[in-house]
Amino acid sequence: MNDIVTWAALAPVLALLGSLINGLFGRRLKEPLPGIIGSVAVGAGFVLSFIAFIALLGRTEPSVSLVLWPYLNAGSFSLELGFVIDSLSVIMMMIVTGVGLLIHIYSIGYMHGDSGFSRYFAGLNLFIAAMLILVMADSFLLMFVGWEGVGVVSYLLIGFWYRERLNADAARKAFIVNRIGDVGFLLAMFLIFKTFGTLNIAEVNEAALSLVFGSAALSLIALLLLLAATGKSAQLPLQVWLPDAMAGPTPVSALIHAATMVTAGVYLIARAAPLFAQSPAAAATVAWVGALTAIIAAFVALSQKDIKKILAYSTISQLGYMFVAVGVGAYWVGIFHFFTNAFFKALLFLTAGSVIHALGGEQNIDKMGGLGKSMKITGGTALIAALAISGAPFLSGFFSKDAILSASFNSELIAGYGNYVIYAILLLTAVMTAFYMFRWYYRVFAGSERLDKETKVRLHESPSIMTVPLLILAFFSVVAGYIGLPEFAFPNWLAPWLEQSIEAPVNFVHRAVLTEWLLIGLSVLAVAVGLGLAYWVYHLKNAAPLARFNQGFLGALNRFSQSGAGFDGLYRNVFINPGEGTAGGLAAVDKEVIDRGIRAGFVSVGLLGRLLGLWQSGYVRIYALAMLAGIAILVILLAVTGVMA
Amino acid sequence: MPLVLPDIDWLTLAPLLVLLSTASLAALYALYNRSSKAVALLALLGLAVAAIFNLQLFVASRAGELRSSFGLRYLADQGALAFNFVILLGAALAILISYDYLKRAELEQPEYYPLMLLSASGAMVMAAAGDLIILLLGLEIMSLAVYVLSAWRQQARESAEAGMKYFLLGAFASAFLIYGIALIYGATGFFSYPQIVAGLLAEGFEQIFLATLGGIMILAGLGFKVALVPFHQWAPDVYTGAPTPVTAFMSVVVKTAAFAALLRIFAFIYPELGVLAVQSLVVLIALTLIVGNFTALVQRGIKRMLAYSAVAHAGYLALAVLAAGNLGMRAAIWYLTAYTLMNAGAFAVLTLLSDRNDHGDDLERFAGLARSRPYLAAAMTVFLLSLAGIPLLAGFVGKILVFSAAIEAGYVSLTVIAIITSVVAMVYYLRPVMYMYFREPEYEPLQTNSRSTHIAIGIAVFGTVLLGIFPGWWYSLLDLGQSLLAGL
Amino acid sequence: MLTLNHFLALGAILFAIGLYGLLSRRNLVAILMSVEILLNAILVNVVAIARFNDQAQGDVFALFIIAIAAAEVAVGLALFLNVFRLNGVATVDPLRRMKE
Repeated sequence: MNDIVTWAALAPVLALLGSLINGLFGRRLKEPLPGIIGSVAVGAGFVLSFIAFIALLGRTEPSVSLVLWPYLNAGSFSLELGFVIDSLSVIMMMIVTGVGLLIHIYSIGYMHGDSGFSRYFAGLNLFIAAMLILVMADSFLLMFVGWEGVGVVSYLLIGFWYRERLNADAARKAFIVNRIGDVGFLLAMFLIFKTFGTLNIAEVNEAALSLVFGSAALSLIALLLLLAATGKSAQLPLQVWLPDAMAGPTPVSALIHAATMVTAGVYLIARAAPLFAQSPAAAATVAWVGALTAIIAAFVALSQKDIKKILAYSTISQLGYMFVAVGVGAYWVGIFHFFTNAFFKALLFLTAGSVIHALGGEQNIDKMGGLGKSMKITGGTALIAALAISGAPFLSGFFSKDAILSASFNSELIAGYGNYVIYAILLLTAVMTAFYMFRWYYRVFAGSERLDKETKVRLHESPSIMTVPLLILAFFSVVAGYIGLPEFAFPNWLAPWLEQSIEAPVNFVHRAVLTEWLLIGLSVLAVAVGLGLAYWVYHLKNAAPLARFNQGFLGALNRFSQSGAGFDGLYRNVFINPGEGTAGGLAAVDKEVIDRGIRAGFVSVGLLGRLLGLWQSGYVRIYALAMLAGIAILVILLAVTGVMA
Repeated sequence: MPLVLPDIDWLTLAPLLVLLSTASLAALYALYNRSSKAVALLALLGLAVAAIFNLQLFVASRAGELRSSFGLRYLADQGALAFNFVILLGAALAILISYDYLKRAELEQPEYYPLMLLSASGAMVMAAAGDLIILLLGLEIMSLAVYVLSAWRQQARESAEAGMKYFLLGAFASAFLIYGIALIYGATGFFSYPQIVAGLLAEGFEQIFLATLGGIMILAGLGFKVALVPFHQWAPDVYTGAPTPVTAFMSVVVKTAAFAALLRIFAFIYPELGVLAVQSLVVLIALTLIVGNFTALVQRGIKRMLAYSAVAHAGYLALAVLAAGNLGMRAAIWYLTAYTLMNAGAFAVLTLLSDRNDHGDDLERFAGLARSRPYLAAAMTVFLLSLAGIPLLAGFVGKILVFSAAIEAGYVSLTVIAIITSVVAMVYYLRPVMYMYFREPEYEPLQTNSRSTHIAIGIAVFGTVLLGIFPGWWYSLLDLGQSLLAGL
Repeated sequence: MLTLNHFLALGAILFAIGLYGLLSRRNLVAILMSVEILLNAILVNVVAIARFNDQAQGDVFALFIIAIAAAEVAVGLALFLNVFRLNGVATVDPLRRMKE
């Protein structure tokens, strides 16, 4: 422990300790105390991570590995558990603990008076510990420990208000869908071990670079890892659990389902970058999954009415952007967008939480409006976050999103013209993003008030323990992008820093400076179009123009808004009147078809279990007969096949 | 024919003899003194002394001194000795769980403990057997005692039914086992493993069909004991009907012994039989994994769910049997150690939650347990998560070891089935956890407490966590001189 | 001339009779007797094999089987008495309180 960097290994231990204290003795502690314990545990972790970061800054090789203990050591099987703190993981650690700390502090206000106060902080701390293990792991095995850990804790926190049946269902759904991803992770792990003989990530990466470009084993591993990543990061076709996961407390949504856990898939791909860089087929799949997810989720977000669900779909969409980045081989860009996204997405959720808190649980944006007047800080920070996520120039989201667009335009990893198509999809998504985010902003914070009378009385700005974290996040939402300015014209600190940890050979076309400026211009234009449209529709005309359209996608959107019938109406639209319901149709396909698929899966699994249960008749005779039949079949097989096959 | 006296190595037999004499002593003592406390303590003492002898043998075997008795028919190699540790641990946990339970349920007859010791000694014989007759003897000693223990709750129909069912089907399975042994004897003329293998490999051997048939029947007989599908149907009924500590005992000790026997004959005899002998097990494993896991999914009673989970775990363990010649033996011993701890632990928690008639193990009883009995809920969570294979708990490491052994032995697609079904399994293992932490209690929880059961739970939690975080030491202790028979 | 195969066939037939009895009889005592027939069938096999191989090992095994059969019957009858006392009938039919 001579190296100061290694002290950061204590961060997950501290979080675990906080969790244990709150879990075991929490009920005996008075209210703010569990929150303070939780915040201190995470805050200390942040300080340690920050010190490690500063210490690593000056080094030529910013990577420290730390073997915790030899796990299994025998024969062909040799595994050590260890942490690696390098330029990549230290960034993740700072985000997890830093944003985590702010959300812990915010939660002290948000969860005020909840009967499960200490249980809540125990869960939150446990999550931080698991997430830190995930990002610091030096082997796939330990990463899987964290991977499962965040999954289980997320499951528990979604179901936090378990008295409501809906929440328990949502928790179960999240759990099941994530299990599908876990199958991918487990299979990938065994395949990695079989192929490389080790599970150490650095060793696997090194070995992968010397393997044949695009070999089948490599592609299979990469695709299985992708399956794992799609489960955790809510990408197509496993995205269905995230919107339902919004049933949990809003700070949980902010921390787990927006800023940290859901980005684990992106991190996994960045960590195992050589596996993907060496396998163009898998890389292209990643990029396409990301692009399709981005646009479909954005489409669905256009028509949602729940203040949190809009944000949930926007999270899925932004994760799609990150997947495109790591898919086209711009690994540092994926992490860059994760970095900026963590701030503005957490901020969006926390402002939403502040609104829900103030309105006593109301989540329908049709019943909001004009809240900016009475909730100045919440409204102001929400505006900053909305601008940032839309990619308005000079805010953080602008730089990271532009980096993704430019990387997908320039990548040589995607064969043919695929990367241009992906670029176009993302550009269109950017227009939609600006539109739905400002629809969200205008419907909630601007325009006329549409509150119920009794809610109006209660309306208040949240206490400062909630607003101060908002202000801090807003500050970073503005400035976080400046660490990764466009490389062609400005100094970029982040790219070389991260590429010290991610050694994956991907070529990018170097275009003329003018082209690069043109690309930037295009993305600014995209934002302007989306934002302008939203401004015109929702601010100037107060949603009036929607009424004038009765066909095309705005018409469907409008009908959807007016009907308020939810998905049933949309479902009808798709099948009875397919030409009219594009956005609605996509939402319906998304919800109904995939939901039904999952439900059908449940039912058939249950049915299989029950059928097998019928076999268990209780009759000794039947049991004996089954045994005899088993032996008889084997004996007949023996007689038929002969002894030697 | 000249009479040749067998060589008898008393040290090799010491752990067994200690158990047998303790059992006899305890049974005799029970005639004069009906205090079950004294008998239980005596039984625990016997287990401890046996463990000490076993440790001595284990240390010797690690130093390269391999002992055996009766001319390689009773082995004290590392495999057998490691299995002995697991058996002794399982028996000790079962006795600790039993003590207060029997008092509560008014089943306190001191003969209970000698029977358990006898059963454990039968299990040790099975683990040490290098000869089919010895294997059979061990199996019968072990089983007969467990049949009686299953029916221990004499006034309850469920328990009587469990004992009778287990007995009838067990005798049926034993008949096949004996038939199989007779067939192998008929084909090769021998009972001891080295001689059988020599017979099978002899020039001009023609009875391979008979021998393979015998092999399949032996597989069926032992498959019954470990509950492989389709020989598993007794398990849910008997597990449910038997007194819970007895269920704990059979789910760990009986399973360990049967797997020990299966592993050894699979490592040495089966490779020389026709391919179908091995292929049969592949089919049984696939069935077991699917049936066990999916049926567990729809159970409402925790005891019954654990019974099906025991079936499913038999599937994972049998995967290691397939790889018995390679890493499978080590992986299986490791897995059984973990399994003994977590499964006995889970049943121990159950004894504290059900009433004195063993009723009340349905899921609803778990609701809100985290609030009413936080430590019990936490312990149960550890056991269930470990059974589910959540990382950093013993069950996860066991699965990793078994799966990689199976992959190394070339059974990739079967391992994929195992991985997928183990993910399905998480659903039913985590359901009680959700009930404990996220449901309002529906019943007033029983406030049953028991010092000895708490000790058992403590040991099990400690072991499950310790083996999960530091699995290496135990695994590396299992590395040397796999078997006396290996070189033959 | 009697060959080994004749004895093995006799054993197999006896085994089949035992199986039939075990699967078809409802009376528990009859089922216990069927189990005995199963073991005796094997016994015939083993003794015959030992005789034709001129080996003592098989005879020893036969003795073991007899001992095992005796022990099994002792336990089986005890369990049967318990069931009979509780259920009042000697058949297997009530033995299905646990199922599914």
